Amino acid sequence: MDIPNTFNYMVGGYVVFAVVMLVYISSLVSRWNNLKLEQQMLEESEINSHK
Amino acid sequence: MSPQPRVLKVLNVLSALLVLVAFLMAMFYAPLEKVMGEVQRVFYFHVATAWVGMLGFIAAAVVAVIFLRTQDLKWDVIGLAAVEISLVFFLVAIVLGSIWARPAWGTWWTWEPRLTTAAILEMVYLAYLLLRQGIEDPDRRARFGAVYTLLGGLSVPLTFISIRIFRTIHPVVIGGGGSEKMGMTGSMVATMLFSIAVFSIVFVTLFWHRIRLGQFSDKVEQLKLKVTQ
Repeated sequence: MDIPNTFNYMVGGYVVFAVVMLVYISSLVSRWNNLKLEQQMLEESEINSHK
Repeated sequence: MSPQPRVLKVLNVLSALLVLVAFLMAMFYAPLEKVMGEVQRVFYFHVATAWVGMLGFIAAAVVAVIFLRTQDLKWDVIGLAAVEISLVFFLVAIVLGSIWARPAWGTWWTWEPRLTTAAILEMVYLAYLLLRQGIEDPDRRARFGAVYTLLGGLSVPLTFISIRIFRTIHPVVIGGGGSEKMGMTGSMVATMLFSIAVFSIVFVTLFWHRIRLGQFSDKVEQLKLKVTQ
């Protein structure tokens, strides 16, 4: 019996896996960086309000 | 926010390396499946991501119970983290399953019991994230989240047992001699079990990161309140 050629599906599957995981990890990093920026701005405005 | 603990840094590297090893095992250690061909190699990541996704939803339900008993908002952060990461893993599992199904069943999707319950499960928790955003008060949001994830958790065992109680074309892989019925060799079973272990570690790593993000977000919210008052 011939083995069907399903190589492209396999590649597609692993590409989808890699893309979804990378997008999610990037979203975690991006949210973290945004919070850091926000924290810095808030701390600066807190210091300014005390002056 | 404190820098990443050393253990988390180790887990970051370990997770990446282990995913690479699992991928190489799926590619080169597991033999070529003669009926489906190369596409069967996505099956290892499909089973592993589905498994940790479901465990994460169960973990969120357990955390919901703890929150309802303690009313401590830190458990809401942990529950949200578990749901978000499980959603990502379960989405990967659904898409990989669909890619596997196309050559195996001749269709990307069919409304059979496992696929239907899996799609419902994903949508139930997607709705959880959307509905949470509509609630301003943190206490109310946490109570709603806890009750919702507790009820949503009921759909997890339903999804898991759907292929065991209904007639379906989806194979039973875990339990009941499923791997033998599927004609899996020893190296195929080893690759599947290794992938499940690897994705459990990846889950823990991402879970930890997501909890830290939630805690940081709460800290910034408190700072915002302090500045605006």
